[in-house]
Order: sequence, then C-alpha cells, then structure tokens
Amino acid sequence: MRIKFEGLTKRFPNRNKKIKAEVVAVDNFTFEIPDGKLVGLLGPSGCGKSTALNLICGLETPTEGKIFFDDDDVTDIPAENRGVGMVFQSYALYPHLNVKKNIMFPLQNLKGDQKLTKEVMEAKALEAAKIVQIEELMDRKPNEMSGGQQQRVAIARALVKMPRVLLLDEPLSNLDARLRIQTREEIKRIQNETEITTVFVTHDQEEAMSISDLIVVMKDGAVHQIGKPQEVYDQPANLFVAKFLGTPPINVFTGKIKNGQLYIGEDMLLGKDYVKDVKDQEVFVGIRPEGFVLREGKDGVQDGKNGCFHAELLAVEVMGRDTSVVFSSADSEIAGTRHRAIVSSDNNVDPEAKKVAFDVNPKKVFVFSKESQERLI
Amino acid sequence: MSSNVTEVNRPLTRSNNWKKRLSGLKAWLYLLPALIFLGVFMIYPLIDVLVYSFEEGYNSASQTSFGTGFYNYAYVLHDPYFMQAVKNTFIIVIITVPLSTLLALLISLGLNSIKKLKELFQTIFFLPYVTNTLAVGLVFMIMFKKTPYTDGLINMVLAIFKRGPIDFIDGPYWAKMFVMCFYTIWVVLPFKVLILTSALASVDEVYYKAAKIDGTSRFRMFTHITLPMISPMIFYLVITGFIGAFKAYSDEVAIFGTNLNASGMNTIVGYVYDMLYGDAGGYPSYAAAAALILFAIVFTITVINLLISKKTSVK
Repeated sequence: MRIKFEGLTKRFPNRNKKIKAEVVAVDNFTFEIPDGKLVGLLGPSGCGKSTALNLICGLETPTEGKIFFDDDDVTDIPAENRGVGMVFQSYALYPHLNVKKNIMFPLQNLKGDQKLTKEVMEAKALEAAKIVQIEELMDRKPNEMSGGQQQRVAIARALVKMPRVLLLDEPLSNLDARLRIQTREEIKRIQNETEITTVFVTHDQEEAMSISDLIVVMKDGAVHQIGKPQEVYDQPANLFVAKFLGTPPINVFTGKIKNGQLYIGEDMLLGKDYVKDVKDQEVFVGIRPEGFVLREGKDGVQDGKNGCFHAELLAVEVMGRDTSVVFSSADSEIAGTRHRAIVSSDNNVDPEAKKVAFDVNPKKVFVFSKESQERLI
Repeated sequence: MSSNVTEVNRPLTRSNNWKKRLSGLKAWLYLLPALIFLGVFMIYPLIDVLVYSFEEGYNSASQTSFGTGFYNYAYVLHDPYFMQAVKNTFIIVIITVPLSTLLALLISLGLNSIKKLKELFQTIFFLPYVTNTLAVGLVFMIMFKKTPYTDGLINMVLAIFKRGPIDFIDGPYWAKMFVMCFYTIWVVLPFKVLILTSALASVDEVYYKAAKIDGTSRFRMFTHITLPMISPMIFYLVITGFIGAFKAYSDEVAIFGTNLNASGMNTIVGYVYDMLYGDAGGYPSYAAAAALILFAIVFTITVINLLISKKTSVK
C-alpha cells in the first residue's frame, strides 16, 4: 500500500487559551511512502510525528489536505474502516484479557458477512502469534509478561486483521537497551515477512537509522529531509538534520568562505576544488566525528603540529576499537562545547599534550549557510 | 571442631536473641496506645454483646441475669415486629443496592461524556451527600404526605395523570416502601456517582483509541473495556452498599418518625434501638441477639459478594 500525502496540515488551538495563535503540528506534508517499506518518522519530541501517525490511522482529522492509500482518498474515512493496525507506545493491551483474547479482540468486532467462527478466529490469532513468536504465551495476562513480550502481543494484535498499513508509535521507548536492539531487528523481520507498509515514529535517530528503508526527518511539524538512512546521514539537507543524526553528534564550528576557500579561524580546511563557486560568506561547518584524521609526527606520536585543523586537547578516551579525542575550539558554534573526534585506536595521542591537530576527510565536512542553515557544500 | 564453633558462637547468638526480643517488645510498646483503645472500645464491647445475647433477661443496672441459653434468639426470631423489620430491611436492600448502583453508573457515564459544565453537574449530583439526611427526609415527607389540608406535591402531579391521591406516609405498605426506597436511593446516589465518575475518568484513553482503530462498537467498548476496568469499584460500591443498606435506620426515622413499629417500617437496626431505648425498651439481651443476627446476615452476604467478585476477576 502506497501512502500519499497532499498538503496535509493539522493545526491545534493553543493549550494556553490566552494565546490565539494555533499550534501547527503537521505542516503541509506532501510526499509519498512507497509500498511495502519500513518508514521511520524521526524528530525531536513535540515535532508532530505522533500527530502525523494519528492522521494516517484516522484518530485525528486533518485541518487541510488529503491522505491517499494507493489511489483511495481515505481523508474522511473513519479509523475503523481504513484497514490500519496500530501499536501504541504503551501497547494498550487490555489488562483483563489474556494474550489470546487480546489478539482475537479485533476479529471479534467484525460484523455481518465478515463474521468469523470461533475456530477461524483462534487459528488467525495463533498465526499472528507465530509471526511474533509468542504462541506459547497465549494464556498469560499482560501484567505477567515482560515489556518486550507485551510489545510482541501488541504487534500481533495489530497484525491479526492483516492491515494494509501497520503503524508503530515509539515502539521501542519502553524497553531496556538490550531489548531495544533485539526488538528493532524483530520489527524489521516481521515487516520483511509480512511485507506490510509500516510507518513508525521515533525520536531516537539510531533506531530509525538501523531498521528503516526510508527515514523522514521532521522538526516543528515540517519535513526537513526524506531519504534512505545512509543518504540522509551522508548528505544532510540542512544543519538541523546534520545535528540530529549521528552519535556522537556532529561537531559544528563557525567559519567563513574567503577567496573560494573554507576557513575555521586561521585554519584552511577545504580548497577551491571543494568550495567551487560558493560565494564568500559566514558559514557553519559541520564535521562528523569520524571525519577527523590524525597524522603522527616524529616518534610516532601526535604532537599537535601536523594537520590542517588545530584545537585544544581536553582528553583522550580509549574505547577499545576506537579512540575518542575530546577537544575544544575557539570557533565552536556554541562556545565551550566539548567536541569529539573518533579515530582508530592505532593512533598514538599524547594525553598530556595541550594541542591537537587533524586533517579532515572532505566527504565528512558539511558547510551550511549561516542565515538559512541550508547546506552549501 | 564443630563443638568449638558452637562454643564461640553461643554468646553472640544469645545477645542477638536478647536484642531481637527487646526490639519485639519495643514494637508492642509502640502499638500499645492503639491496642488499648481498640481493646476497650471495640473488642470488649463486641465480646460483651455476644455474652449478653446468651444471658436471659440481663439487667444492666443490677448486672444480673436469670440464666444462659438461646432464649433471647428464640424470642427475637418469634417476635412479629422483628420479622417485619427483617422483611423491610431485605426489601430495601434488594431494591436500592442494585438500582442505585445502576443509576449511578448511568449518571457517571453521562457526566463523563459531556464536556461543557461538567464540574457544575458533578457538583449538583454531589450536593445531596453534604446535606443533612433528616432535613431532606422532612422535605420528602412534606412532598409525599397527604394531610386534611393538602394532598402534597407528588399527589398533585399524580392528579394530572388522573391517579391518586395516595397517602405515601400513612397509607398502604407498598406506597410507604416506595417512598422509603426512593429516598434511600436518592441519599446513597451521590457517593456512588462520585466514585464511578473518577473510576471512569481513570480508564486510560489509549484503550478506547486502540479499540476504535480495531472497529469496536460503542456498546462492545462499554461491555468489554469500560466495565471490566471499573469492576473493582463497582464491587466496592455493591459491598459497601449492602452493608450500609442493612444498617439503615436514620433514613426511616427521617420520614416515618421514631415509632417505626407502628408504621410497619421498622428495620433491624431500628428494632435493636427500640429494644434498648424505645417505648418498649430496656431489653439489652434481645437487642444483643438481634444485633448478632444482623451481623450474621451482613457477614454472609459480604462473603458471598467477595466470592463472586473473586470469581469474575479471575475470569
């Protein structure tokens, strides 16, 4: 099922009644979610991603615009007739019903010709339970299960009617770190098996990056970038997207383009080959932590001399596979920020040295306009 | 070797034991004030009542009795006034408890579904709870009473439909019982509405959202989600409702006056009071026996209630 948005907008009246201006939760969405893909709506809290999900499932009606499932306009179709399955953040399992009854609940709602016999319902419930691998828990009550198991039951309940679209609201936020990684792979597997177009909402970029076929980065109700996870990471459209994706986060400095060359302070980072015909101006420069390259000086120890970018060394954190070099810069976007470079642990950095110098990988350097914050290079 | 070990350990264990015993004593010391009060004002009277109920013709002034046995119970159970009181009590319980709970549920559902003026309506429904029972009883009596001068408000309304007039206060038994049940329901309703509205409000909205997406009808949402979720509160109200209705007395006095035997509207607690202090009073032994019969009834009903509630919650 393709999901298509045309100028979809949702405005809420302000909670504070004295403020007349409305809150725009979803601002003019116009894009398409391709069939059978796993799509992550990613953004900070309060960016309207849950509202977008509620608009797709029909719990909210849009202020303006239309939603299409394939070529059917579903904008005015009530939630129960849209054929969507939804997994809520809190799972919303009925606490007084056991797993089997919870999964069967949507089937028992069918009326008229669609009505199923008890045997068919039980068979379908078992089938759904098998997909999420909880068939041996059918007699448990929700409070007798772990968070991960409850999550699976909620997915099974959403799948049992074979929905056209599966929606997941912050599916991993209530799980502990280990379960989170396990469950996100599980979601990917279930989506692959069922081939149901799946949209999930998350504020965790790692979660979105790891399993989505496509991510939609949102802020303040507006879509900032849509693309494959690696694309969005490698080619961020603007400063917000660049900052939001990646752990540790991207390092942002103030710089300027002068005579077709990119400078941070006195250091020249990129030459004319890269800057090409961008006009001279003040800019923000984002450098991914893995974009820094250490070059060793004499005695094989980094001494803060070789390289195009110089900074104050604060600390060296050895993490086994990688070494994290923590430094500060006078040209930081936010003064006093502790920046971080991730380098191979083969590098020798003298923790006692006051200075550190890097070369940079031009592919990991992004330049943004200071005014519009849009990407320039 | 092993004996050595015990030898070394013994003084230690002993002092530990001593310390443990001391801290146990300390706990009792802290409990003492509460225990004294409970003992004097609750446990001793309970035992005393039990003793009185088996002592024939106990006289509280001389502290004497003629003998012991089941005579008091036999007397009370053969007393037509007591049997009338039991009948009245049971009718009030059986009619008012289910009806008031059902009405309260309907009102709470209504209150929960409106948005505007919700607080105002909640306040209005709660007002009877803070008004004085006797004063309200008087108002009920005036509304229902037929006097040589006026037929009363209710009879005026009935007259519109070409019915009546009926004397609800001094008239036929069913008319009096109707007023009694009507009044009892009116008095107990606000508390139940209060409890049920908060129970309904505490059901997480997300269950209804999930049910809506799954195409659940409103009726099924109510029977399969709302009712099971608030069932502990409903059971609480039914159990306390039963207990309260079995102990009814002041409501009857408010409408029919203190001579309840004469109007045939006495209740079990009313009978106990009459036996102690009424015109025919001065029989603490009979009162004790009646009180214990009431206790047995309430206890049985409550146990049955709890068994039912456990059974349904396991389901």
